[in-house]
Amino acid sequence: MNIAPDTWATYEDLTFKDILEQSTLLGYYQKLTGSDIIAFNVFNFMKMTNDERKKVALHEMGHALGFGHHDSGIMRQGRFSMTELDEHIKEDYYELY
Amino acid sequence: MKRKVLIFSTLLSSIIFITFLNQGIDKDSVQSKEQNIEISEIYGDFVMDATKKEEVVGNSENVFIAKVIKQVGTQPLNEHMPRTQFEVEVKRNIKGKLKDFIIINQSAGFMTDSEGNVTLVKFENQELLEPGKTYLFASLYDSNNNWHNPVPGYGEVLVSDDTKKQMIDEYKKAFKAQKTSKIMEKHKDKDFVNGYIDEE
Repeated sequence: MNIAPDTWATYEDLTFKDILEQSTLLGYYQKLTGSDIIAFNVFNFMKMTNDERKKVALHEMGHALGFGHHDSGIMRQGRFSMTELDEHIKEDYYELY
Repeated sequence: MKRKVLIFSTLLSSIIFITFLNQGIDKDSVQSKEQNIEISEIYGDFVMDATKKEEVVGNSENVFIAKVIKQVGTQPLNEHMPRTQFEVEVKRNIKGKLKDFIIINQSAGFMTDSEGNVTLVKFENQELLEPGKTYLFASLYDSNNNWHNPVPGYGEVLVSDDTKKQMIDEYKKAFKAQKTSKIMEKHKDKDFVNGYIDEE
């Protein structure tokens, strides 16, 4: 997936940034006026595998697309490895878009 | 006759003046109550499934009941993420051994933009802590700031006299069945009571 940056003709919709906080937070999505934010908590990310990081990135992208938490699949909360979209979020996607 | 007209006019003027005055006061009062504060909601992902108590307890160093005394700071995480610090008095420990007065750093607060617009930034299912009220906190100690970071929303649960006993029992039970993520084991400086029980 490519996220288009700001140009003279387009406005960036989503900004990715790192935060550092000694907490159980892995990452978050924040809707703002202008560019929304997805942040990853370096405190925990440094201790995670690449596949666990990908899960968090996909999870937050899911929030950015308008999906809420679910008890299974990529929108389930928690640290686990997941690098592909599950059927549930695909169904949600086709329903929403 | 002239005198009656004068008295009538004075009374009428007074009534009109008081009516306008009251309307003005009411208008101001309604405006202050319904001040249009925008809410910016944050959707977080955590080390654990935060909806499960045994996972919230397992990934917290401290679980305790405390009364919020007062707000002591508003140190933000970054330009878009306000945080509010509160002094709380520890009343009872469920996990860990905290005592007396400590600082809770809540990941929520008010943000004012350059045009003076105020936004309340908070996580989903989260409410701003209120001085005088008692909460159950599930938190990690932040050694950089010497304060405790509770799980937003899920680790800052309002306690009432009616629910207190039931809540303590539920969280004591959750402590016995606690599940700790392996990732927390990698934070060597963190002190988790009774070791680790991983979910996988």
